[in-house]
Amino acid sequence: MTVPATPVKGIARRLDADEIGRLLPHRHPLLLLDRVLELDPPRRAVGIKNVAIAEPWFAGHFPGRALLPGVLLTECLAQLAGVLVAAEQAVRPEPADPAVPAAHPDVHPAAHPYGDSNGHSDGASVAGAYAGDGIGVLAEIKRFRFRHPVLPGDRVRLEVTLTSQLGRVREFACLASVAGNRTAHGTLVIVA
Amino acid sequence: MDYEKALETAAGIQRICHRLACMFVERLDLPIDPIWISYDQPIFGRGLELDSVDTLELILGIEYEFDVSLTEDDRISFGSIARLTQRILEDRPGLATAS
Repeated sequence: MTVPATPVKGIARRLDADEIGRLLPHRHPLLLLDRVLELDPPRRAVGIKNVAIAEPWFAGHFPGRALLPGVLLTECLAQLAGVLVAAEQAVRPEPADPAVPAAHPDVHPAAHPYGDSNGHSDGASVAGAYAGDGIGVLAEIKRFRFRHPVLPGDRVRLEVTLTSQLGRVREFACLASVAGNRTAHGTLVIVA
Repeated sequence: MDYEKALETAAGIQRICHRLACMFVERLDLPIDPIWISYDQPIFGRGLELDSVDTLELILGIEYEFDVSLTEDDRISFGSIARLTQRILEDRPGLATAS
């Protein structure tokens, strides 16, 4: 079934898997997002991940007791945030936009004053090395909690909300839920 | 009286600097004791070698601890802890004299 797409400033508000694939660089077996239900760049997105026993990790996680790895749930949320960043760039290709609220100023990567040092934080350095070519990468995972196991057959509702931004660095509050129950929540920092 | 007031302000500034140094170490998991961070050493580049992800974390920390919102435009304030303290006092002058 195709999702009826309503264009909003050049980008669909709902996205099916093929459209998600055009916004994200991820491919099988790590393109995890099945659908985007709400897309409100740059602030908020809601998506769906349907969990199937056919997914390759269930062969080993765990034999006889299939359980979606928490890192993959985190990755689902990161991908939804990635869609939000990609959609924002699609809507607003011009990086320095005066319409952006002062609390969340956006600057062109080349004008970023702090650069990407090779200091103590290796994760950020790796992020810096990849960021800027349109691919958003995970720079930090903060305070994640996994409250309930996610099993084959579950439909996971994913929600990400931009809470803070400094240039190419964005922080998202993330929530994953199954049938209205919170299964995981935490904060992700993405450099794009 | 003015002299005493100046002393009090200086002590207040030192207190904020110390709070910032402690916050840097705590929030960024720096492998050093806060007392080894001098207040006028550069924060980025060859100083504490922080990067843009760290900067966002510090901005969130300063907002939480001092109720001061910094943006990209405050990049000069991130030159050193002393400069950050000056910037915080611009928004919260009362902090210099509050004990």
